[in-house]
Amino acid sequence: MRVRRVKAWAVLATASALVLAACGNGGTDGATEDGGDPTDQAAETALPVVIGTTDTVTNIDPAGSYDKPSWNIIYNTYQRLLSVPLGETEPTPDAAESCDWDDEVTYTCTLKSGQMFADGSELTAENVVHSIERQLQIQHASNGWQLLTGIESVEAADESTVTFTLSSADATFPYILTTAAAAIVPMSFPGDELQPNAEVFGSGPYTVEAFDATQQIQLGLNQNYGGQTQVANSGVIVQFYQTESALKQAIEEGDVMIAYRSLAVTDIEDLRENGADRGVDVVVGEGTEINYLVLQVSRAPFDDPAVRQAVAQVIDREAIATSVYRDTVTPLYGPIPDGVAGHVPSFADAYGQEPDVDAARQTLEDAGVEIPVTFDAWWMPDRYGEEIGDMYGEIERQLEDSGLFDVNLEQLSWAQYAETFSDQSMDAFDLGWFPDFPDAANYIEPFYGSENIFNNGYSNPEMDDLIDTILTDTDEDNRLAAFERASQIAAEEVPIVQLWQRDQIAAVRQGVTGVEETLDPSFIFYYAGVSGVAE
Amino acid sequence: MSRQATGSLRTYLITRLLLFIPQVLVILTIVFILMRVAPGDPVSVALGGQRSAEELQALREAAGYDRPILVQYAEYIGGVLTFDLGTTIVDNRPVTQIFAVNGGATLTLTLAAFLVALVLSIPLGLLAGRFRDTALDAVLRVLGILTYAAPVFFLGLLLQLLFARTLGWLPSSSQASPVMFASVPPRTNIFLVDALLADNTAAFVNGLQHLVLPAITLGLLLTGVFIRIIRINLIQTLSSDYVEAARARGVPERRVVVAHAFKNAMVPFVTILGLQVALLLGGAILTEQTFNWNGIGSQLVRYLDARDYAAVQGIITFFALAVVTVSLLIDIINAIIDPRVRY
Repeated sequence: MRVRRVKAWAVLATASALVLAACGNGGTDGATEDGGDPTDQAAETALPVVIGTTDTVTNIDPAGSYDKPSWNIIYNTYQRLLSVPLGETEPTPDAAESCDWDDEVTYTCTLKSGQMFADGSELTAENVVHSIERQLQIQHASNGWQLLTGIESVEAADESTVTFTLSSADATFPYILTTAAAAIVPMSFPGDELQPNAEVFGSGPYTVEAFDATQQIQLGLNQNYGGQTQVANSGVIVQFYQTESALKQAIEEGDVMIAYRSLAVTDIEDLRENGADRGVDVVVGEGTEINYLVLQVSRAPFDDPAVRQAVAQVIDREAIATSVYRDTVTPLYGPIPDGVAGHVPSFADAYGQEPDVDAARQTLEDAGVEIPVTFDAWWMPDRYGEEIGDMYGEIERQLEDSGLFDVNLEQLSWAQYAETFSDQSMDAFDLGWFPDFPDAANYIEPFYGSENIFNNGYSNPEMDDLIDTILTDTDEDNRLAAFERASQIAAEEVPIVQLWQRDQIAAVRQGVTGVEETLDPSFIFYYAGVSGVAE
Repeated sequence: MSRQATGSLRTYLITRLLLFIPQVLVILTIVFILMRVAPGDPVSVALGGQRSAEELQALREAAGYDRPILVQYAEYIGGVLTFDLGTTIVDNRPVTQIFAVNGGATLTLTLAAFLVALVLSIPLGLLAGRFRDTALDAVLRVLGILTYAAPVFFLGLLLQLLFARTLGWLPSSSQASPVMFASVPPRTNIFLVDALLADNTAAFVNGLQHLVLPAITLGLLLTGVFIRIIRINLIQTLSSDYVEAARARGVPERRVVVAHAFKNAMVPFVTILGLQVALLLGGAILTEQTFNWNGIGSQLVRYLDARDYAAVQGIITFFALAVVTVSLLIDIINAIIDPRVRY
């Protein structure tokens, strides 16, 4: 009997605890919820930053990933020889004191002294050699190492000098050294396999304190950090959410200070209109992610330039941005997004920003094309957000309302899509693109070369020459001129119709600062500048 | 008499344990077949388009998907017997690690939900049975049907809207606020236990606050079932001879219900409890998804999204084994408390 009573009391006590918890103050303000004295907290200026995301981090060993979420952790925990500073687009020294071309295939960097890894070991030229060599040795399936395949050899001349010899001239090589693929790792990382995620550390401003890719990653300050970046907080918690709605709830309830990648466009619209009442501001930065429609130039109907031009003339990008994306994307009228050096709105120059159905009809009639032109347009529901389906519904409506086209929409999951789009079986298909680094070459060379990644049959010797200039000429003026001409050709021949560039959008608790500054075209979220107490 | 009864119980237990083996084999076979019915091999489905054809083939060979189906089946059964449920394809993680890391969250949620269901359903079920065919009974029966029929995600969203969004009393998602979660070193991967081990009262209270809404959501699903079961059992028990005899002896009605009828009405209820484990785990998947609860169910959804059938197979196997194991335990308990349960 006594035992039963004890059990009954235990049940009651636990139930009471639940009830008490329910009756307690919600107190869900994550930034102030450490049980300490609020006054002390207010006095504390360097609190951890809590960032919520729906992204998935895979590997934070630089040799094991090629995705933005993982790279973002790497950018904050490792140094590279060069980096692109906030708000800029040109590589500048990071762990390096200086870097320069010896000749068109030899690039030498001198390291700063006093750079240390989190374990106290010194960062030397040997670390750079080790980092590159293990990338090329491991050749992880994520394929980030392929950015480094232009390196013929890398040698440490002494403790602070490292020399890269390239297999051919590459003007983008300094940019490649800014990527996470070229992040510098300690000698303790094995040369032939990945370092476990929970055991990685670098020489960047932060070091990994706890890693659970399904729950949260905790970054603490690297006390041995010897770089120039000033850190305005005491650490970072990256909290993972499974759904966009859960992320929105978390920012509204103050569980996180920043919601970054990705909120649903309807949630962003709601937060823009009503967020201030809930203590949330929406911060927008230039984005370099683009989305585009690839046309199958190799066969009918898009082997005729007039048909391609007519598509470009009819699609209303502004309507897509406004009605489908609620102004969370910006119409893109050229191959290179706005904000990246070399951007030219060549489609707007050639056809105007407004759709022109009459001009499109004239283009088709002049070319003797039978109207309406029928084609299949393919898109995938599981890759670029929920709005893609709506966008293609809108594109179908625009094209068919013109009376010039008869569009059959088709969809395929990414796994099959990725294996199919380059086999020339699709008339037209949607794809998206994140740049590896903020150089316009990223948007020209893979798309418009004779051996482009789409295998869509597009080839133009002049474009190939321009790409050669873009990739090998280290004179910036020459490169800019090449970008401009390439953009003009892209608009004239229309093997691809660029649709939009996505703004970088974060929802931020009022009182948190430094977020807007990091949402720049480099597409890197640097945590160091973020600070403040969520109100 | 005593020796006979003991022998009978022993026979029952041995028979029940022996039956457990074919029961598990049948379930494992069904899981294996279902996963193979899906089109394409698991490696291509999960990683197609991200790896070269050679890499995919190498992964297929490494995972054994190129071997004859019977060999795969034997390997699968062998793996389960040694508690090796394979490795996930998309992130190369041992499936057993999912249970170690995320199992604590699911255990916390299901136990709390079970507690909520018991605390609510026992008194309500007894009231409904005791005041049969009254307005109170009708209200409680409708309540039972509603809580059972209401989709978990819908009920969860309603509770979030009311208690988190409108009233602001409770947090709407996760096991704890990110700061609190970070402040507790994971030892058992059961957050509330870890908070206590770390002597972190603030984190413990925070964890309890986060537990309330998901536990009530999932608990209400069971409450509807339990109310009806307790009610009908109590009605049957109250009409039995020994209860009538108790009443004839002048035992007060309250004591008849609490001391005499209640205990016996609970015996069939214990049997039903085992059957509700499947309902509980199924509901937990939806509840975890609704409340961003990082348990095994949410991992199942995550791997389904990634089309990682190796992970899905491992998790479903675990769920299936959990259900049959709990059923076995409930049968054993039932046999111990009810001498009539014998083969």
